[in-house]
Amino acid sequence: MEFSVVVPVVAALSFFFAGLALGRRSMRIQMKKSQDTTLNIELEKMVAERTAQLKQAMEDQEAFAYSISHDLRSPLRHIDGFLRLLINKMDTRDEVVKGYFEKIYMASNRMSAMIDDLLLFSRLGRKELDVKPVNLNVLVHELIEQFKIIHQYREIEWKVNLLPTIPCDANLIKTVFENLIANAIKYTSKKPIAVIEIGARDLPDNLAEVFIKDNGVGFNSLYANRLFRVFQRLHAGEDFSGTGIGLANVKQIITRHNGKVRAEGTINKGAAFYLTLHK
Amino acid sequence: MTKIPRILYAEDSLNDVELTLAAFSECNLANEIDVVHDGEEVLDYLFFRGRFADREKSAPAFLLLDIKMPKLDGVEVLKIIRESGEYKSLPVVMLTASKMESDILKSYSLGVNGFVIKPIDFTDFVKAIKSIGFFWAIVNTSPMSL
Ligand SMILES: Nc1ncnc2c1ncn2[C@@H]1O[C@H](COP(=O)(O)OP(=O)(O)OP(=O)(O)O)[C@@H](O)[C@H]1O
Ligand SMILES: [Mg+2]
Repeated sequence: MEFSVVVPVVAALSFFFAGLALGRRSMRIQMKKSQDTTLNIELEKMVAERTAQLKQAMEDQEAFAYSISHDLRSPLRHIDGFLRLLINKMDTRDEVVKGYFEKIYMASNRMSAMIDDLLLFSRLGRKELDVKPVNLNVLVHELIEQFKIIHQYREIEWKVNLLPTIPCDANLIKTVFENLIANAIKYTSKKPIAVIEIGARDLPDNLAEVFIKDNGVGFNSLYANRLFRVFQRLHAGEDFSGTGIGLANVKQIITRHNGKVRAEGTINKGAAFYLTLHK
Repeated sequence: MTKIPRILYAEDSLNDVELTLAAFSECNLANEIDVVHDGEEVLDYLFFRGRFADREKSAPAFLLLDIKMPKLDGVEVLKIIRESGEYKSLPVVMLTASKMESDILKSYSLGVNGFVIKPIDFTDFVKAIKSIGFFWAIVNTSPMSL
C-alpha cells in the first residue's frame, strides 16, 4: 500500500520537474536562435501541455487521497467494530485470547494512524506555498513554550541562540520545527537531563543553516538518509512511539522551499539535524 | 396518543448498517429505524413510491444519510429533499467515512443539520451514534411533528 500511494506523488513531482527543466531549456534555446520563432512556439506549446498534465496529475492525486481516506478507512472501521462486538460475546478470561484481541486491535489502530499520516504527507505536497518573511526566533520560542507545557515533568535544558528571518511559508516551517523539536524531546526521554540546542549560522551565497541538536539515544550516521523516508524508523515502537512520517514531512517541506536537510548521529550520544535555507 | 416517529437511515454498506444498528441499540430509543440502501430508495421512501407506495403516511423524526451511495449519492439526495415542498425542513444528518472538505461545505450550503465523520474506533463510533440518536430523536423538536 505504501508503494502504491507514493507512486502518484512521485509521478506528480516528476511532471513538475519535467515542466521546470523544459522551461529552463526553452529559455536557453531562445537566446541562441532568437530568430527561430517557430521553435519557440513549439516549446511554449510543450510547456503548456506539461503544465496541463501536471494539473491533471495533481487532480488525480487528490482523488487518490480521497479514495485512501474513504475506502481504506471503512474496512478498518468494520474490523474494529466487529472485533469489539466479538469481544463482548466471548469469554475473555483466557489470557491468550485476550492477547490476540489486543494485537488485532493495535494493528488496526496503527493502520488507521498510517492512513492519516499518508493523507497529511500528500496534502503537504500539494498545498500552495504562502511565502513571507518569517522570524524563526519568534516561531521557535512559541513552539518551545507549548512543548514545555506538554512535557512539564521532564527535565529539559533549552539552549536557543539567535535565529534568522527567512522567507518561507510560516505554517509549513512551523510543522518542520514541530517535528524536529518533538523528535529531540522524544529521543532524549531516556536521559535524566535532556539538552536541546537550537542555533544558526550564515553560509555563503545568502544561505542560512539552522540546526537542532540533542543528547539523546542518537543513531548510526550510516543510516542518516533513511530517516527521511516515509515510515522509516530506526528505533522500535516499543521503545519510542511513532509511525515514522515526521521527518518525511520535514524533508518534503524543506525541498519545496529549495532548501536541504541532513542528519548526523552518534549512538547514545545524540543527534543533530541541519536545515539549509535561502535568506 | 401521538405515534413515535420512525428514523430513516440510508447506508449502502451492510457492515455499516449492522454496526450502526448495534450502536443505536445501546441508546434504548423507542423509535423504530427503517434502513434503505441507496439514494433512490431514500426518495422512494419519502415520496411513497415503489416498494414504499403503501407506507404509512408519516414523516421520519430525522434522516441519517450516508454520502457515498450507489445511484444518487447523499449530497444529491439532500438537494432534492431541500427543493421539495414537504421535506425542506426535515432534519438531516450526514454520516460519512471521510473528512472531505468539499462534501462538508456542499452539505451545509444545501442546509444539512449535522455532519458526522464515522470514527474508526468503535467505542467512539458508538458514542457518536448515541449522541445523534439522543439529540435528534429525543431532545430536538422537529417542524415535521407540527
Ligand atoms: N532526535 C533524534 N534522535 C535519534 N533518532 C531520531 C531523532 N529524530 C529522528 N530519529 C530517528 O528517525 C526516525 C524517523 O523519525 P520521524 O520523525 O520521521 O518518525 P518518528 O518520530 O518515529 O514518528 P512520527 O514522527 O511519525 O511520530 C525515528 O524513528 C528515529 O529512529
Ligand atoms: Mg517524529
